[in-house]
Amino acid sequence: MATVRRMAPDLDRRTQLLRGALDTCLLALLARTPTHAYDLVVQLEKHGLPDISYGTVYPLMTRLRSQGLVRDETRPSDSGPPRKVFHLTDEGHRTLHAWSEQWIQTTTTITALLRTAGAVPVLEPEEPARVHA
Amino acid sequence: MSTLERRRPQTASTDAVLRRVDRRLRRLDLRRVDRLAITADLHADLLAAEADGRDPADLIGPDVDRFALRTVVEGDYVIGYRGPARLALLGTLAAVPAVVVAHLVALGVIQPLFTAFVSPFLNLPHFGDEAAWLATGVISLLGALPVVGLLLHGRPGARSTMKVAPIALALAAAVAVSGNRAVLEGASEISPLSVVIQVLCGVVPLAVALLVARWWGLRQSGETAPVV
Repeated sequence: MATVRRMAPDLDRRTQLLRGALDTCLLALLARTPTHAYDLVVQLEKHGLPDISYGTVYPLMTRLRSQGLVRDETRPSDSGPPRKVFHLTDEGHRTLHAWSEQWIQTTTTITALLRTAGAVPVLEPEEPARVHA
Repeated sequence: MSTLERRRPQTASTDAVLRRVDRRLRRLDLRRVDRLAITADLHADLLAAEADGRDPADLIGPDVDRFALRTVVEGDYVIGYRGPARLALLGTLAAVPAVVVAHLVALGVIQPLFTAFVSPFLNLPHFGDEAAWLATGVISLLGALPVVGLLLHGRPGARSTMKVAPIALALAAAVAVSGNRAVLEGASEISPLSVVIQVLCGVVPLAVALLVARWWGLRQSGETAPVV
């Protein structure tokens, strides 16, 4: 008898897909601007990732710190208690570069596979630019 | 409604969330300095979220326990660093009333009953004494186990510890009873020294049993990893 499996809800599936790339996203945001955990959540929302909660980001930051990819620095804050601002370490910069390369290679490969299999439309090659005399 | 009135419930929520996280971190036996560092981070971030008009409880999510455990495990913090010593100390202290009650019940109820009704029937003149010692050990064990369970509630490795605790405590009770009997039989009269030895015969095996059970439980436990 065939087993019918329920499809995972789209949100769960998206969360699973994001889970593997979230640390890369956080390193990328920190490479641009050192900031604190809550602000990272806000930036993720602005970049179209509203499903990523602080409850996910903060534990992940503690892991990146324990891995030596980020370090924290306490800075005074105008609006409340001193804030812990995260910076990328040199190792963090190298890791970000490596992880970004991995991400591009993986997504390129999968996208090519999906196109070959006809799951997504093949992009039409762009016409060569005409040279006007 | 004034700004202060609008902020008041959210501040209460920040405090409530912080208290819940702090309580969970305490139960995980985190070092004080680590616990304070995490709650200080949270405090600052929750206030920032509150200033943005968000509910701090929504920021962490509904499962505070999971958040605390993930933070601790992902951050490679040491969980249960004083687990065995804490359980041995508190467990031993909490077991003292259990032993006293067991002793009173055994001497005041069980021994007279056995001496009056069972010993003559079985023609065993000392059966009452034996029953009293056995009852002391069993009642102490039954009294100590729930206390140990309570002390371990919600802590890492609790289930593994509770699996081995009955065996370890039963052995400790047997050693304590045997030691006390040996002291009473060997001493010509009860002296302060003999009483001290009797107490040590009860306390030391109990503390050792709890230490071993907790150490074993933490070692065997896979519960320190978050269930993601």
